[in-house]
Amino acid sequence: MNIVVCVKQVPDTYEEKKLSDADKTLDRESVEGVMNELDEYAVEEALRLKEAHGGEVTILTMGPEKAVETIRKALSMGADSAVHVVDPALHGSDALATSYALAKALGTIEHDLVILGVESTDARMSVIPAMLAERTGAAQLSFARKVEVDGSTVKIERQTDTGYDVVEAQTPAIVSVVEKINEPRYPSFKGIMAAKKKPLTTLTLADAGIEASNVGLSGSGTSVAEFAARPPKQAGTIVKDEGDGGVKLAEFLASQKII
Amino acid sequence: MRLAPDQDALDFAGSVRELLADLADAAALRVAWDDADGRIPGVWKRLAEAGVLGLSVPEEYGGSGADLTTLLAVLVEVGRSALPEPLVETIVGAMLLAEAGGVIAEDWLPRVVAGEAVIAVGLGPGALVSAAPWADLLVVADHAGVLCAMPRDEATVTTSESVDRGVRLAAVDVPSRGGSAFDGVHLDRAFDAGVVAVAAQLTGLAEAMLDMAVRHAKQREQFGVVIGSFQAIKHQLADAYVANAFAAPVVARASWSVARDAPTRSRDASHAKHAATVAARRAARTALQVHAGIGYTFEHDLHMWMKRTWTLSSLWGTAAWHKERVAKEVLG
Repeated sequence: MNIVVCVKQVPDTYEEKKLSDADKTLDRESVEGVMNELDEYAVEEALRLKEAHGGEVTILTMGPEKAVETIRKALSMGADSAVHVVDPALHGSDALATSYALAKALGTIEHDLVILGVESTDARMSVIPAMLAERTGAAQLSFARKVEVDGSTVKIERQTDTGYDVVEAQTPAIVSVVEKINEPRYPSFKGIMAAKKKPLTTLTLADAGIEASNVGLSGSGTSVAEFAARPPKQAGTIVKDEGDGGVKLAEFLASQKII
Repeated sequence: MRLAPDQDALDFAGSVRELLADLADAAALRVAWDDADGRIPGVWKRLAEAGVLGLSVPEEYGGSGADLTTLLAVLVEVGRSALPEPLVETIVGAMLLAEAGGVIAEDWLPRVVAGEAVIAVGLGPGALVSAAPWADLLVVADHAGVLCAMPRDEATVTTSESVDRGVRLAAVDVPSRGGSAFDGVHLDRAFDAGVVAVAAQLTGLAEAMLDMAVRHAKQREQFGVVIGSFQAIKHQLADAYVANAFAAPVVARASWSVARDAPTRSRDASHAKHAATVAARRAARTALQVHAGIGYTFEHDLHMWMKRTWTLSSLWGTAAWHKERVAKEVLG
């Protein structure tokens, strides 16, 4: 079973993120980049499936030069090779454009399964897995908290608000995972040493057969029109309890349409 | 001579830092302090899986065969987290076993690499053996002063209280067996490795305490401004930072000398322990002052970091003992 794991470099969760004034896209240069946390679970799951069933794990990422740090981490964890789609023309791509570029890049890699985290911590749209499934014609197995593979059958437990559904599909399939699924490993010393020797392929738009008109700011269907800093927190209302505290509390909740 | 850690060592230290931040944070440390056993469940195994425990073990026993210079950045991270695990003891014990070779090495080293065995060593000055209550294997001197290795249950281990609940100390009494598994092994070199390892932890502890103090100084307001804006605060912090920043290269140099068994090895190791101890104690005191003394109580995290600093200051030789050793080497 050959598996592709899509990973994304995102700004460190604990740092303040900024949009650039020039084109209103996320400023990725000024902040520390880390692997999107949920993607670590995706990499871990792929490695576990590989350990159980054989095959190869390929990391696929789209992003600026700097994203190679995240690729190196995934390779240090144990993935076999990586494909990095990097081209200035991709800057500003929205989810739809990104899914198009990723689908094209996927076409260059032989695979049975694609695994992704359910969402990235920067965009938080959770739509890439579904868009990729639609574009590639692969089955979509989303929100997996458990994945089992038997030959060409992939069975998952899909996390729901109240429990889980069991969903099954044939490969090729696209699986998005939630953090309940496993506990990601930390890159080991041997893994870090080995990662340097692993193949990393860099693809430009032309290499992957991506049409420039479908990606980047101009190729995206959505764009940021305007943005403003979050207003500072307002001081709360203090209600002095003079025997009618409960009533005042209820009135406040009612005024906020909470009750 | 290149003293700065290479990219692999830095990447690995980053990985260990992440592991410790996730699995051995202040809350976990607090639980371990209160716990009768005193260790953080599961973290030893994860350190083994990441390759920390096998890093300096020769490849023939399943390790990575790296030397102390590679281990250094990891030990700084271990210090930063004030980890209550017997890492230095086990690393030094494994060094001794690897050099001794034979059955004892074949029996124990693969278990050390796998995170299934803890070693406690009693080499240095001081009658109490740290980590002895946790150890599977003890490497300590018998009544005749001969170094021997034996499973813990074959010795008499009497636990002793420590101000730092993150370390468990014990008096160890081992029956004499008339022979040593360590004939011809360079005990003083292993001792120096332990000294440098602890010095590296002390620089990490100092960094952590200064981070806490700086965070507090940037947050706490007095007279309408953050207290970090006062010279009385920021100059103290800057001085403590500089002292630790100056100790770090001394420790790096010592790790180089130990790894290559340089003629100046013992002097460099002692210089490192002295410099790191003085810097870390200064960082502890400064952090305590900046926190307006609140680290005095166990309820504040700083408390645990300070006590670890004091404990490591005296384990593997005090600053005064090491200063004396440097003086002897330099002045003859």
